[in-house]
Amino acid sequence: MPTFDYVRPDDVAGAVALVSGDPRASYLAGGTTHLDLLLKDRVIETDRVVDIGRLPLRGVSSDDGVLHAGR
Amino acid sequence: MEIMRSSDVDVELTINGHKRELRLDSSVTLLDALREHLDMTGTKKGCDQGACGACTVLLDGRRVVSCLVLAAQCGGREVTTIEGLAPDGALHPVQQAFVRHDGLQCGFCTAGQIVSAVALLDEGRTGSDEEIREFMSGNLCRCGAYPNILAAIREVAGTGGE
Repeated sequence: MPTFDYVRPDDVAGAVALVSGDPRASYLAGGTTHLDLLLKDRVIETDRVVDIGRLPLRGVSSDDGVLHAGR
Repeated sequence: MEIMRSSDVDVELTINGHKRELRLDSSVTLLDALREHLDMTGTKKGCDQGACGACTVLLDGRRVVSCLVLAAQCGGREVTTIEGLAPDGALHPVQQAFVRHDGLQCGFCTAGQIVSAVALLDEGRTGSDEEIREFMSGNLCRCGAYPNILAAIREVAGTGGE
């Protein structure tokens, strides 16, 4: 089995900090694709899985012609 | 922030109303936690890659394929499995309807089909045969019992059947 740390940060900034500077870290949202590729097909490797599933990243909105995904 | 080392992930979750505490490798899926660590084998492992729906359970009331959810993701959440639908041994109305309509042949997909069907009723997606088929499309049945599965769900939903 692949081994990795499982991390569930409390806020968006924490999640970004854990992944942005580390090429061996990855985000986990729903998991349908990520866990398939990570656990089953083993075509991606990661040392740290950062679970963003409970962060308030929901919905799509637009203002002034800008489309926002996740807020 | 919650940081868990891969070798010692502590997960507390509620399964069918019962609190369970587990220490698991971080890569263990909810499906394997149920089957291999809790001996709850009602939930079936079909394709193990999210394509067949045999491992469907409810996570906080929503359908998920448990083979593509980490057990660690379920900390503090409520899981309902097929075992939770008949806690006192009395079959759930959907289970009874599957029996009446012969909604299975080999039975391997049946637990997933029934959990999905129960969610379907809650979601209000049983308005027509077409809608039931569409919203049950994540649950494959290689025996091809679809007409009888549809009839069973239709009966419980009160939208026809025999």
